[in-house]
Amino acid sequence: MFDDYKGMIQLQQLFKDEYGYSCNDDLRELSNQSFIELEGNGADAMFWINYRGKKYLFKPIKDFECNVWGELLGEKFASILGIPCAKYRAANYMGTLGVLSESILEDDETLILGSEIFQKFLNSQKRDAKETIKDIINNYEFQTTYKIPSEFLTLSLHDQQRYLFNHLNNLNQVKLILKQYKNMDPQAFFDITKHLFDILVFDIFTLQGDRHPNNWGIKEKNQIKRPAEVFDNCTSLGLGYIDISKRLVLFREEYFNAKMLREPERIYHFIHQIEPSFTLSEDNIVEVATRKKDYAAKVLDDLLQKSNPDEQDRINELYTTFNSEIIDKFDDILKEVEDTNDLKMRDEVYFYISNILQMHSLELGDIISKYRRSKLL
Amino acid sequence: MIARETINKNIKEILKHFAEQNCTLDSIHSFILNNLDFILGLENCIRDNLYFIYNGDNLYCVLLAFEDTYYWSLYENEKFSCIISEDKNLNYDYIVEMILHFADAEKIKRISPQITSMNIEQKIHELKKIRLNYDGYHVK
Repeated sequence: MFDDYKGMIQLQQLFKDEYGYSCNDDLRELSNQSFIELEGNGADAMFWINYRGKKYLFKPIKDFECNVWGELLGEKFASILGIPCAKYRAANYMGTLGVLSESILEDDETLILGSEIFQKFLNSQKRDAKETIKDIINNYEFQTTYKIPSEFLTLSLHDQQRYLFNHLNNLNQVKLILKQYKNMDPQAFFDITKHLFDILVFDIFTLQGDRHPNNWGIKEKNQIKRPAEVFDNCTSLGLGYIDISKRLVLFREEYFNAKMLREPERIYHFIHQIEPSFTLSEDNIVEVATRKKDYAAKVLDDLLQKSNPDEQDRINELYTTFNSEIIDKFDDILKEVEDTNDLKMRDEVYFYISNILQMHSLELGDIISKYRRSKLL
Repeated sequence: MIARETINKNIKEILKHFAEQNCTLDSIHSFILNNLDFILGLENCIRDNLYFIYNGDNLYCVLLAFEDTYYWSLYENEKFSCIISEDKNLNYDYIVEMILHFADAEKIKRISPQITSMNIEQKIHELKKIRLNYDGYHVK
């Protein structure tokens, strides 16, 4: 992606070189240019650039120096694990730093987000034209089939629907829903659910806590469906917190306390604050009101227990690669990403990410070995 | 009683607008038949109140906005559903709400600062004028 542009992509320069357009930080003027389309969806994504027959999305990143690594390293990790992922490059638009990502869509292809899948599923549950969404949610059969907890019924409809999407945002429920999705053929169902399984494992490994139903989807062209690449990994690797700089400082203090006092749980306390939002099942919801879910290692434990032998092999295979090709070679990977984007990871960010990943991988390894041993016995 | 000319005009407008979106005659039929009472009850011409919500090339629904009130008819299996009215206690559509919330985004406010003081009908009209990503969710 943008192979002829070295380092961070300077959009101001690119607009001038490619389209003869001089930026003046007037987004209204920019949005009227023929090569620009604004992205309405998402708080951060800003605009698409039509560049040499392809589309690229510019997304500013808050606390860029910390949070950009989630996207850049996330892509690299996915590539090493063999999981298709959107491509990212660091970019600068008029002093606003962010990432540029290549559209994952081919011509005439549409990305159907998880939220649209959930909404269409809800719509399809209507037994007659007059039935409302509230009727569906209040339907006993619906509640039983989709294991809707009784706490939902005390909430306003708006909150019920929000919580419902969060409740359904897991592999098992999504499988149930996709089975009923319009024109879903068995091969597409297999490919999509296999990919969602990989995303679940990827999120557990990379500590991605923001795989809400607008951050995954399926692609459709002429009614043919296929999995959409992983995208939006900005909040992986323990990043994306509102006050990330403060978190880095706190982590460093706790890390040294843990070493001195020989209390590794102090570090795990940090890691366990990160919960995948796309989980295996609704069993991973800890608390309905706060939408709190199990932490990553716990979801892996649950996943290993409930997976079939093929899925267990896949987890093993991914973990082996994760440990030997990512954790052990983290510095080499980082160097490559730094060189491509002409960036340098700050020391405190390096300390945070490398230690969190290492400790997390150790815990995942323990769970997997424990499971392997119990299977052998 | 609603004037016959208004009804005829509305039906003609619906046929014209839907045909412009390449809707098949059968699907336009389904919209009119499923929503005849609604159409007959309209006192004014709906030409300026009709919007189409797309995801890429896929039509998601037709949106009818009247000041701060809005209705939608979902498009599924080449048919339009009965019109659903927005009611915070009964009905809520994530995609429709998501599109309406585009108007609250900072980036949209930078392009159209006056959007914050607009009613829903005006907001949708304003969003239609902005060049939104045609491969994603947008208004026509």
